[in-house]
Amino acid sequence: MSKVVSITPDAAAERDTVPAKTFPQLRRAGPFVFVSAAGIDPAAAPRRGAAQRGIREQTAACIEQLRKLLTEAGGGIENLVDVTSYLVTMNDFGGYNDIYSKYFSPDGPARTTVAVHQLSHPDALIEIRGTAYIVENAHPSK
Amino acid sequence: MGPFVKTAGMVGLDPATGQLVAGGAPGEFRQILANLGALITENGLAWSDVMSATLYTTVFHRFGELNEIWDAAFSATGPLPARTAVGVSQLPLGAQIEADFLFYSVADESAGGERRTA
Repeated sequence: MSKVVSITPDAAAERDTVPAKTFPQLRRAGPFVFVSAAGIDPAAAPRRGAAQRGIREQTAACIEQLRKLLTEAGGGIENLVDVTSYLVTMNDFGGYNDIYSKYFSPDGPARTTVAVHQLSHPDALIEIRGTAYIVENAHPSK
Repeated sequence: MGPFVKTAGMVGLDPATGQLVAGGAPGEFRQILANLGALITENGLAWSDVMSATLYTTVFHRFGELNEIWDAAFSATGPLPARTAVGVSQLPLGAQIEADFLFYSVADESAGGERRTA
């Protein structure tokens, strides 16, 4: 169930960072599923491409990544009960909100948004982490 | 509440003195994890009960060192927590790193929510 991810060596090489050996993209605790912060996918978006991608594309990429992980966990983004979004500048708040509102209605997950100083990927404008409530065996095919 | 235990944001305070330890982010992070280990023992928890961790640091450029400390604390202790790390501009007490942790432990449910003692 848990997949292991590490920061891409190429992103790490740009900074004085050595990726952690492992941490999971998600961790289940009873019906709750904790998802590590999802950001731009370095594999799908090489660094130069990522740098050109704006907040709208990156927000959508984060939410799609959450969707992918939660689908694998037997649920979907509709199971999210709490999300925290980390921007690097509140100037992006408008674009981020526009895209966010295409995915989530006002009765969607509780949400907290903050602007931080730095994110792990040097080109990242946003990371989103979330907690979902997925009752196990609700999807017997999984 | 229930099976969940959430720590407050922890900075690298020496429990004996109540002061921030020396050594910058790496020293502080080792202290945080030592304090977490003590908290785990005192509360009858396990390292594998840590479900989620959030790290806040003012020195993200030193994250390689911090990851090594993280790996040393968690490797071979079972499943790893989901983790989120962000760079921030300031932390309390001039700390360079702060972390909070969420535990999930159902081992004591039959005891009506009372924590087992280690």
